[in-house]
Amino acid sequence: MAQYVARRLVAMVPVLLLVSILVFLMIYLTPGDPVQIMLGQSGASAAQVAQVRHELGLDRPLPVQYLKFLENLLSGQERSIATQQPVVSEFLGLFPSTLQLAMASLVIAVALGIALGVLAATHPRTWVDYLSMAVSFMGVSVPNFWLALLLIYLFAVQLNWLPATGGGSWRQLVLPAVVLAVQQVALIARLVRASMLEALQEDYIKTARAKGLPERAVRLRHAFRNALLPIVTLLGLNFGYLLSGAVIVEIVFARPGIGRLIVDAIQAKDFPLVQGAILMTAVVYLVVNLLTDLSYAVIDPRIRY
Amino acid sequence: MDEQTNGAAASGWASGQWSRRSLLRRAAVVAIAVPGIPTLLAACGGQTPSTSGGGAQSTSAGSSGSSSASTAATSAANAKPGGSLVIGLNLEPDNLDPAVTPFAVSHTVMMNIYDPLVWRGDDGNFVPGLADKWEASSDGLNYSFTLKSNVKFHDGTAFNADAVKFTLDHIVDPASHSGFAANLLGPYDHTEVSDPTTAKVVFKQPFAPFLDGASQAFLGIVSPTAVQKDGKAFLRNPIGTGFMKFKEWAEKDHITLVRNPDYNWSASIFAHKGTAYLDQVTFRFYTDDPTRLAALESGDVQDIETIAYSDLQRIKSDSKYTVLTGYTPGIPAILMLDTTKAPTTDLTVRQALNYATDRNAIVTTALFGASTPATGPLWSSTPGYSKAVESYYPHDASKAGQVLQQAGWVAGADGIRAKGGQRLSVTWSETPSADAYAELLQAQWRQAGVELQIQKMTTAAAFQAIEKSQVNTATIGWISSDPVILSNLFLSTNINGGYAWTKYANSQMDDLLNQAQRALDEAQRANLYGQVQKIIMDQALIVPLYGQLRTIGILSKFQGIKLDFRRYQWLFDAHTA
Repeated sequence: MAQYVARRLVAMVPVLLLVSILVFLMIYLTPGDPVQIMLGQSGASAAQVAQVRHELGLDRPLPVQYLKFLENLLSGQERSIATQQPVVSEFLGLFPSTLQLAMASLVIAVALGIALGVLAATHPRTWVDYLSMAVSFMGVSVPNFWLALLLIYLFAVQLNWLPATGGGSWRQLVLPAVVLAVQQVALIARLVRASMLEALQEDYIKTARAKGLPERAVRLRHAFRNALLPIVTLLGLNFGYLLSGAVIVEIVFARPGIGRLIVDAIQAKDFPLVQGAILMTAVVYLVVNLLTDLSYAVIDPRIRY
Repeated sequence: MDEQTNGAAASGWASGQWSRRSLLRRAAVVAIAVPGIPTLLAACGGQTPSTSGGGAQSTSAGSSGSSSASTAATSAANAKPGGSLVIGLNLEPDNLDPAVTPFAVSHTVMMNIYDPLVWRGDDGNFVPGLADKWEASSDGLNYSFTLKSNVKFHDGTAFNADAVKFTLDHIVDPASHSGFAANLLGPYDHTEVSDPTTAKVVFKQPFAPFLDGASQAFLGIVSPTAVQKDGKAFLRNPIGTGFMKFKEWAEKDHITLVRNPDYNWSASIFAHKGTAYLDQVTFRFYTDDPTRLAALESGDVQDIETIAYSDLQRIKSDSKYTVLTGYTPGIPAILMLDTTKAPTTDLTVRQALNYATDRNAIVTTALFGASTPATGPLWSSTPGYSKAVESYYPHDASKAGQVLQQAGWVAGADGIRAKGGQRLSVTWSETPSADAYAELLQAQWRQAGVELQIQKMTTAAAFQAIEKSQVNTATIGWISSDPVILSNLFLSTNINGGYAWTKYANSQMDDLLNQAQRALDEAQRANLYGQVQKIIMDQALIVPLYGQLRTIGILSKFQGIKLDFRRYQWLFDAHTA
């Protein structure tokens, strides 16, 4: 097991290098110049702009810039062009907020998704089945910014039950988490349903029923547990996506988070911040994937690494 | 991703047919494809406020309405200290060092933290700020300021002439990478300090816009001790002499200021003396218009900047809120036409575009009647505005067609004109601030036989596109209380790497602009700028569109807030009723 983990950690390095190169190239290919944005209205002459560009190292050849960037990032020295604050601390400062949102929405999505999926699987092809699938389908079809504004209007403006915007308190977490969760519910519910249906066909289910176990135990202790693996896979991948910052939700609810950090940095062409933040997001993604894979060993005793 | 696939996946797994790898691959397709799509869409579209344009430049036109520039005035006797105001801004500042940041939104926050040497009142006149008296030399090369004594910075250090010298030198220091303040200092040379209360600011050439610049928070006086101790930290930890002190900045969430208890050097333009009434002012950032409004209506904030035109009427008629409106001086929303890229190289074409544009329709339809048409490069409230521009190019769709026809632009089968094999096609690097009326303008120009190709971009990309002459036109607007802003947009030295997007180089206009920048006599300046405006209109270098209206929505409970000459909020007299 330890060997497996070590191998996986080592395998992360080439992936991260590749990601960093891709991101590095992408941002250079898009239009816009960070020095222009910085100095735009200062009346700076072309010579002054060139000077600043030289100071920031933006006139060196790309490979040199790339290596310098890596060196700075790893030593925590890399600074955002716009705010002059270290990239690493900016990211880590906003990460907890995104993590909160991701976890909250995952909890809601898992609870709802599993409930709907199990219900559908245990009453196949009845109205219960069709209704739960329809509900989850609606969830994934609704545009999330529209739903966000609707919920804000209803719960914050009209009823005044919850604050409309911001981050920090649990009450401000509710609406954004719900909006994010709604989209995941569909995926989870469908996968749970399909997975459970297959599991319920297995022979050991017949045995369990023959033993006289109550139906509830049959479904949950046996069928559900065996249906869990694909669901965990999905959750792991989804969580990684959530952690990279559900941008729209953060913008609409004016929540601090790394999604907004990255989008704002892209618009300001803040190269160091974009590159650093995306790289750190990739690390998070890879770690979550690793944890998901390790969880298989826990769930299914047959799996050994 | 349908039931079949999922079911097959699950059964394949359960029966040991497939490896874990292929299952993961399938699950990955499901998980990534669906959530991925909304994020892509978000990155492409959505509100992109003009962060890159930044500066005192604002490309978001506000809504209309009458010009009520202050909340209900309560007599000073009724105002009691206390209260906490939360303001919703449409952007987050990048930093709060006045020498560095170019953003109007930074100015909004900095106005409370720093004091200027002089204040510009609502009537346009200058009154004492940190300087009690000032005098320009007859040759216009230096300004002597007699400064207040007994003024302290928030860190306890004393304000004196050395602080003024430090502030101005800090702005022009190349290491500061000034985003805008350096522009306000122009041909600044150095400052001489003879004693703690006398500072003489020396210029290489006369610079008429200096006092106006000195009245803006971008030239607010900073604490030399704080900047010298740690310049980088100062960006996010500002120290000035203002009536509010900086308390904290939670990234992407809020900036909080608290009352400065030592403040007793307020200017005469304010209604009371001594410290501010409010205990605390917090700024929150909402880039999304509907969210900002919802934040006001739900009570998350009590004051928001920029209300969408479609909502303006409703908020104005709601007695729970007071709406302050005012047109910003400077450059209104205009289209700049590149004279080096066909077909806008042709004067006739540029004139025809002006005739073809129906500003009234744009304002009434696309902007919900929430603005007023502009007729020239300067907004009417700007000093130096020339009324003569109003008689140029009234909307006349048929005249536009005639003018083109006579110049040899003949309509083709699809209604678009062509001449000598060249199609009358104008490209526009369009930004979200123009979304409301882009298609309307396209339809208006089509009537005259002009094809307007709208290329949607972010503000940064749009600016680069017009600079490199990849497109014929782009929109711009710029808040400025001094007509020197015309130099930024029309001086030929600003063509490469600057904002002179029309790329029209005319030595006569250059001379006029340079002279006007040096002339200290107001009447002479007005005359010179009048001539500049005439050239701009004669050559149809721009298509003026509409005035930029600032709209502030405030909970009526808060009173005493006024809009200053440039339409920023003055919070010194703000109090709860």
